[in-house]
Amino acid sequence: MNGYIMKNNQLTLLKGLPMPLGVTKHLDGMNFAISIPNEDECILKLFHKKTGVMAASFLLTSEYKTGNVFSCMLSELMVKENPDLKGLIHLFDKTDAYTYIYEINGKEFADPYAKLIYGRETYGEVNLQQQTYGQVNSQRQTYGQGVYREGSKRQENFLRGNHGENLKLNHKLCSSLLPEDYPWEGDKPLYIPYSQLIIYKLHLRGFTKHPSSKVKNPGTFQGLTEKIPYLKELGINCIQLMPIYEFNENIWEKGIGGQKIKLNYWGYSEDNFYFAPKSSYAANPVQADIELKSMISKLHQEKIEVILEMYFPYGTNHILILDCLKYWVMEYHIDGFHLIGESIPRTTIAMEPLLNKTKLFATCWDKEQIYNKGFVPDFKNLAEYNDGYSVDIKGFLRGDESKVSSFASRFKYNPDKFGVINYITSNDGFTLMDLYSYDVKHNEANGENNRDGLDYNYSWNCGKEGETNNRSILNLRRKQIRNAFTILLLSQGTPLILAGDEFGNSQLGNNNAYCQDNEISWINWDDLNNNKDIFEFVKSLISIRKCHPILHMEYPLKSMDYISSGYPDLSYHGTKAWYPDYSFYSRMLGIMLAGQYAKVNSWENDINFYITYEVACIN
Amino acid sequence: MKWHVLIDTTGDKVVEDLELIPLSSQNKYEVKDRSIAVLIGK
Repeated sequence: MNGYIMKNNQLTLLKGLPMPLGVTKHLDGMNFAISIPNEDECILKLFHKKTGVMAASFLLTSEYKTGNVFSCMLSELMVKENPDLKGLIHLFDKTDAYTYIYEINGKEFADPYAKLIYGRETYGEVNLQQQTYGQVNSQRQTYGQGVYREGSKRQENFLRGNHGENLKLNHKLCSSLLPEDYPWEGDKPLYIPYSQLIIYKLHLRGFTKHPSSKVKNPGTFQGLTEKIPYLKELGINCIQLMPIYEFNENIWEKGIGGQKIKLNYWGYSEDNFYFAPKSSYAANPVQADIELKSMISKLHQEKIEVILEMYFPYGTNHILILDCLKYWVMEYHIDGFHLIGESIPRTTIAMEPLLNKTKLFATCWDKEQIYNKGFVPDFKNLAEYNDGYSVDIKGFLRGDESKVSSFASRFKYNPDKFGVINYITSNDGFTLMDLYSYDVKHNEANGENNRDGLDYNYSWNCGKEGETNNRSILNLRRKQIRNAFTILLLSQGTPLILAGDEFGNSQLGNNNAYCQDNEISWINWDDLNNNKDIFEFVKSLISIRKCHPILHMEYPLKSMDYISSGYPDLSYHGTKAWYPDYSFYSRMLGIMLAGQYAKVNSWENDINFYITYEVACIN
Repeated sequence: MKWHVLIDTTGDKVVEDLELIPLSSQNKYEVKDRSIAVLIGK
């Protein structure tokens, strides 16, 4: 390729590669590709990042279209030889010095495949001039009429580039070209099996935003990095991050008196740039990619995996979903994803070869379609992630009727082909301390008259709603927390701990803190000192789980004595040995795990465990 | 088989080196209300 063709003293851009979408670097130059249906032309504009001055703009007509993809290739040779393109002279050696944006019919928008986004550096800041491709393409004027800044009109000199001083980039969402190369220094995926995994779910901002976290850069990737020694001490080996891609945290709500803005703190947004890390989660927002990579690298050095939550609302392009998952694995060394959304192509994702060793969590999987009958994958990378365990265990712990049988099933459930993620608490619901401090939700701070959030929580305030000085109630709450952790960490399957539960973090009864970027949702690290006993208890349980393979088997226990040891690998018992009571009013169960079925090392069997669960109030 | 109490979530003092036979009807470890006990045996 020559990079460009000169015709009648005019510069003609070379048509680029329609795949992959976004910006990619090639030997011949920089390739731009974007999917825009129902349009005959679009304009690619490049800006100097520092000054915001336009460096060049290019009209892409239907000649540059393959299917619905516009593409062009900016070659180094073309830029060097053409004086009209002098503004792009550093495009190939200082890639991060430029940003770009597209324009259709006078409306500008950032590339949905942007690897880094500029314009959302300040968390919670509202900018009426920002718009996404979806808003432009669907003609939805989300931010009201007349807020678009008119782009430049079609000009004759597009093909020569344009670096006029009057064309400045102001207050818009734009994309950087490519993330900088990062010195990973041999960083490799950890591939920790589900049987050995202990997951810790956290909100990146809320984890260290509270002053009590005492980190140098609260609420950022660097803040979390500073907490790695704490995570190591606790003993977890995987963190699951609520959305850290570039989501729009500002939601426009229609209400009486017009529209108003509400915060989407959790990040399950419909306005996302899935390829870009959230810039306001970085201490230096223009280096979000580097800070995130540094955090992941340091977590990997400490043998801690990183799972990302990815929310894809109904209608998200399936190709984009696949592309972005692969991108995060290749560019950021992400170990897995929790896929959230109703219309995700789960089977396609599961069968994508590049993701075959990446952990993938989803509500359910089409097992028959993914694996042929009888086939057991050499690396279990798929896992079920739903609230079944949580509902049954919370009911059992509260002493609800008819829960012993479902508890016994949940304790044992550990499919051979799939992982199963067990959790009791999550972001949508009470924290563990609140589960035993409140009978009902207290979401008044959300501004929805307490109508939002789950109404049925399987919670129990242990005798008094909310704060109390009653020692017996406080002791009972602590015991219920210890009970919950004991069940969670001794169940087969993979446990997931909600950050802060290990030291009694409270959201003051708010079970739906999606819009609370404040002390309600931020983790209060002072509780670590106040509830040191809970932390030490959880730490011990994690250590016990790790030391004893019979507590976290890779494959399902069979409830049979298939090695003639005198005991089955798993057995259930009631007040009378070998006779579990699954009747309606039963509230106790004994479970025995025989250590002969698990090897601690090549010459030593594990020990036997007998666990008795009594969830009734006998006195 | 000798059994020892590893965890008792009542938070009461853990009984160390207690010989128990949890699978027999005699000499069972008494679990208090709303509690979980973890016994280990060799």
